Amino acid sequence: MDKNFWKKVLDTIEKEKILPISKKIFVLQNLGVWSGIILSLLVGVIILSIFYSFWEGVDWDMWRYIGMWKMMVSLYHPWLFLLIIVCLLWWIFFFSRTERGYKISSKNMFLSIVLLVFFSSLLFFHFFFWGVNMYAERHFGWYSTYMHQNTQQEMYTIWQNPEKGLLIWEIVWTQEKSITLKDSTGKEWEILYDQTTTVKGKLSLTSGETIKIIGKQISDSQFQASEFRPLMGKWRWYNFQK
Amino acid sequence: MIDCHQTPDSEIVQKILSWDKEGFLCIVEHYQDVLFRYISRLADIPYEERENLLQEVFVKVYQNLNAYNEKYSFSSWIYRITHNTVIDFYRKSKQKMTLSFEEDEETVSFLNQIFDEEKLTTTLLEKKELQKLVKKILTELKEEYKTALILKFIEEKNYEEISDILRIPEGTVATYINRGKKEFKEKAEQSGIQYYLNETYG
Repeated sequence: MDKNFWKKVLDTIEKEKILPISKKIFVLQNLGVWSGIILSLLVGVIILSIFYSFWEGVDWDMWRYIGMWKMMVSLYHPWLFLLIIVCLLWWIFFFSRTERGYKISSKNMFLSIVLLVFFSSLLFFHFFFWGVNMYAERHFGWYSTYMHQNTQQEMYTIWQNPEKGLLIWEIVWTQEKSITLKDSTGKEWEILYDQTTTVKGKLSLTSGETIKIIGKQISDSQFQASEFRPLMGKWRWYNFQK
Repeated sequence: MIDCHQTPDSEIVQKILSWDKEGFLCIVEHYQDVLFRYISRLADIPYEERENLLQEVFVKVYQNLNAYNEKYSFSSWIYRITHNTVIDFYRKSKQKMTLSFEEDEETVSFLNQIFDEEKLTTTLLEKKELQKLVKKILTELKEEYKTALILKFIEEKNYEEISDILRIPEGTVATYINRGKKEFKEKAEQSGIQYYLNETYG
């Protein structure tokens, strides 16, 4: 090694006027990385909570009417799945750029983020989701549209099946022992009921109310109800605009 | 006046950041030989080019001193910069990593460790030939395996240090070393020198 090597190094530094990069730059870089981690975690948690809300809103006892597979398919939201995967990759990308992130193997990193998002979203869902959801519904039109389209679509998939004994949508007229219902396709039905017809959940049979009905199709426009359910059910945040 | 041999690296770094050039000279003096040898092992290139790479390393060290975290080993940090500089050099020049074994203390000691002295009743010339074959085999190994093997057996770094230098988990370091040794053994068998190798390597 050249004895004057240190001189060459110093000369280069002086000649090219090289200075140590400010600590602030590295602090900012670090801040950027951690912001990326927190943001990806937050987005992942919110998306998974939306998914839980869809899951929770499904009438699982209806599987015998339309089959479990169809119910599962109604829960499939490719965009949500894709976004969750993007968030996971995003998180891994940023986490591996932290000072000690490389110490964790890819497998452990993947498992830890999956568990972290899963449990954080469960907590978020139970304590904050409905509040955040209500706020988002009021302030973000696109969010409201997305949620309504998806939840409505799920309900139609399951409940707009008169031949299988299922009907859904709005009461337009009430009489003694019968109601007139406009289904989700706009068709009107005369719904007959008696003392054996049960009501599940809080529901008042008044015009303008949206409901779900289990029963039997009698004719082309008549339906015998055996059970009434409120439309909202577990979609308690849901404010249908009719 | 700093006593370069007694003052811890983290203190020297603080001195440099408070514009004490003497501190930086300490770092250069302390690491220049060891890093030059490391560059030489990873890059079979002319002396001047290796020196240029080393100079680039120290300039990067000076520029990035504020990024160094005193909680961790300075030696691993400076090795990482060196390693990345060499990798960048290969990337830019689009060359394949070729190793170079100089007759330095650590390399000779490594080669002596590799061969079983009892089996090695060959002449010095033949021994040199065997060493050349070992170099050839090491050069043919996958890049990640050969760097892990060099850091472990020639630079004598522990798993934690290798993990910090290569920025990979310690488990991956162990995997690279084991797979590297396995591949080394297979290639040694193909080259017909397995008989001469120590049990640990053969």
